[in-house]
Amino acid sequence: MFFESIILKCLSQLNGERTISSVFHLLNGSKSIQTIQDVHNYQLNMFYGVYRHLNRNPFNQSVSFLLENEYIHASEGEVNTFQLTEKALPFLAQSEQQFPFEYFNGLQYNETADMFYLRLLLLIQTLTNTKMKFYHFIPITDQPSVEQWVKQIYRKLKTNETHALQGIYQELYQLLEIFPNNFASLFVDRLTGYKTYGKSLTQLAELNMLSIADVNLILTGIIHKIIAIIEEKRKEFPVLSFLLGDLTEKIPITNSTNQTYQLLQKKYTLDQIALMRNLKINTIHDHIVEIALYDPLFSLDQYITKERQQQIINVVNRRSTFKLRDIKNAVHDDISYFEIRLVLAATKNKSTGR
Amino acid sequence: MQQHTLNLEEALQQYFQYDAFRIGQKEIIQDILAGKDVLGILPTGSGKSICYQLPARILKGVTIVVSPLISLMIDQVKQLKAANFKEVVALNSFMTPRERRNVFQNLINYKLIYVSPELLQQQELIRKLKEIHVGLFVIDEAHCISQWGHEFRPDYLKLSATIKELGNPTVLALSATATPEVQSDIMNALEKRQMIKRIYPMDRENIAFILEEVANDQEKIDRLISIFNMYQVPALIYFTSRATAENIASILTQRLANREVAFYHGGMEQVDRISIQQQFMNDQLDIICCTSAFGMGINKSNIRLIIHFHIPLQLEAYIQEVGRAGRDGKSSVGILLFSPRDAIIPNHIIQNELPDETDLKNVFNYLYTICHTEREIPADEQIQEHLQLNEIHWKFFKYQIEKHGMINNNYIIYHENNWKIAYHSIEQVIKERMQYKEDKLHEVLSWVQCESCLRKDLYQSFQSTFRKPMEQCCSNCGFLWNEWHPENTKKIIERHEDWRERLKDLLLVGETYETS
Repeated sequence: MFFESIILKCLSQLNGERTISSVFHLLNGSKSIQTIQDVHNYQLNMFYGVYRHLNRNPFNQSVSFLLENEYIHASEGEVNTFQLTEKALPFLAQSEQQFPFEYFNGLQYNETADMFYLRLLLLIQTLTNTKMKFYHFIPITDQPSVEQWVKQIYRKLKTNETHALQGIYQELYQLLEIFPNNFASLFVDRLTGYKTYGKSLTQLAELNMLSIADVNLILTGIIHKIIAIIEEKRKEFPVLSFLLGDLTEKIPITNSTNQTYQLLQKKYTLDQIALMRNLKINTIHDHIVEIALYDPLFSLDQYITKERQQQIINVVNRRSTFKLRDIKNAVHDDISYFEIRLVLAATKNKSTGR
Repeated sequence: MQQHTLNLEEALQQYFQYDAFRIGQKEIIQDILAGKDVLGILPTGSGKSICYQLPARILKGVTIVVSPLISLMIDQVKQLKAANFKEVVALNSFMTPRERRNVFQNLINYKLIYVSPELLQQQELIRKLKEIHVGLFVIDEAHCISQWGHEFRPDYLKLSATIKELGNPTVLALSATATPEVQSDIMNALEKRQMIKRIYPMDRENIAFILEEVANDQEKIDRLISIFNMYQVPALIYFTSRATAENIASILTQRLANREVAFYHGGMEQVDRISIQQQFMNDQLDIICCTSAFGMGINKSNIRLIIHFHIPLQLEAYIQEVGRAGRDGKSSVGILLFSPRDAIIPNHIIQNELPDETDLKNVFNYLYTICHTEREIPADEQIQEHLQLNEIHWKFFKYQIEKHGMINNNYIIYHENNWKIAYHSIEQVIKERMQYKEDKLHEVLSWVQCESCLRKDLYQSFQSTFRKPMEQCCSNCGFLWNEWHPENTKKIIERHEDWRERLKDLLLVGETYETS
């Protein structure tokens, strides 16, 4: 039921202003600018990309479940838009007690978490097997960057597997203690060691009588939380800090946006950049909006006059909405969607103090 | 050359830790080392891959292996690396361009390169391969080259040109299932009619064949339950649909006490696929409900039971799948559960395997539209997306339109007459392929209804004789369950309730620690 409660939480934040699909894209970690903006406008940072292999089918089933049990109802006059019912609140509260949403930090960790987790799994498998002088094991992942990383580390550690394993053991023990027993148990069952292979998601679901979605989310939640603690107290967790290494320093900006950003720094105009990069101007606009979200030094004034900015901000405040269409209808005709999105992004950035 | 005086048995022991060659291996390896082209037909589970893995280690230069299945390549590379053969790599479309470039730049450092037929069409790779010496060119699953093979791959037809371009290295074509017609097709397509044929019988004397007709799926499930209540042995149950495999796995888990059951199919994430495979290898699992995606390259020698819950689409596929039983030579059993309604599902699958006439029309319309605007054809993914075609369907079309000269170097060439001819020709090809697949299915259906010896009937189109079975033969010759006594593989796995104990057991393995 954790999965369903996360959907509820997202819908509650979205306040009936976005369709159910935006929740799907959010959980999936879609890189579209629309999703990135939703994340910021509706404070959904924690859930961004927390369920990256989510398929439509299970998602729709869970939404149907919420509808049938009257935890949500369709918003009036809107298609595919839902709001929470009274009944949803105790359900949400109870679920959050068992599984705190604060475990998650999707926006910051969704890509790091995968890499960190695979490094951990493969390192444990490698060290436990080589310690037992068993070199013929099949690695649990063959993602080249992970394999490369573990190979390098292994070269340094190989005479001292015991010491490294003790370190991992003590640190994991200490970290897992903060979670409920059944969560810690699930995490341990997924690990692969010497002559024991970890359990699959389905096996974990059956063993713990949970849905596969919940197993996925629990694992992700544990990993996010673990990363957050390690980052905070690196000295207390030397081995796991080392595994985390360089992973968390990246700014969450897409590659293509970064290229546009570099060109902007060199004072090219948007039209020039579009031409140079052989991209549509709309795409460049998307990049600018993304930059506005993350760059604390971003200046709106070169893209939109102060007066127009104020007009948009007034509408947002008066109507307390982030819905683009509503804002567009209420401002002067020649203000574009790009300008509205840009102002929303930049004010968002300032208000969260980035 | 020095190679000829080499003791092959010693090399086998040194590199692969096997004491002796299995049937056919040594002859084929000797031919290859003498620089002769070989067509090798060896049954599944007979260790085909040793026929090129050992030469790869001995020969000068690099050995190229063309293989149609990425998962198979990747599995093989993993096993070789685990066996300390490190100079191997699988080149495939799953690699990022950067990873691929890395490998391209270091080709000379590899002894064995697995590659998909598509990638072998890339000029960059060919150029790089020409710079190094290719000592042996292997075509795995060579039946894919034949229009009448059960898994025709258009890209395989271009291999003869590639071989010439690489300066005619020694060629080894391998298959487990090729009828005499397919064998001559392979040699024709490779333009190597003087290849040495090394054909070995594919019948397996330690496998008994059982056909059981039941009324419906419910009865199939009941049969599974009663069989697994009698025996605790490693078993595979094959399904044609992922959903059914998952579903039955969960039913078996509920209804069988003391049996570990899991499912496996191509739609699972990688960590899970490896976990399940390896749990099975380790005897942590008893039964796997799977699709045909499971088993390729899996080297488990003590599988005792191969059960088909759905009828296979072709006898060739059945022979391969059932051949995964009893690789250790001990008595094993293949069971096919059949209910009268079963013929409907495979028909449906066959229809989905091939594009239909609407798809054909759409492709032509689409090409016609873009040839007036851009002329250059878009990326494969874009076309598939636009036309709602799966990868295999689009590849089929792409091969056909290239063959008819409708595109050249990705540019569309429009000639009204030529397009008309092409359209009808492709339409005809689809019809023939469909007919062929239906005929293949028909063979399976008639085998299922055969009243004489199942063993004889199964193998008769591949070979004229077969060996006397080791124990019981088949259900038509009379099979008694109470005379089948496979070794029980019961394994007691201790599991601490407390995760802290499990974490300690896992991470502090091999240590004598004090309990805190």
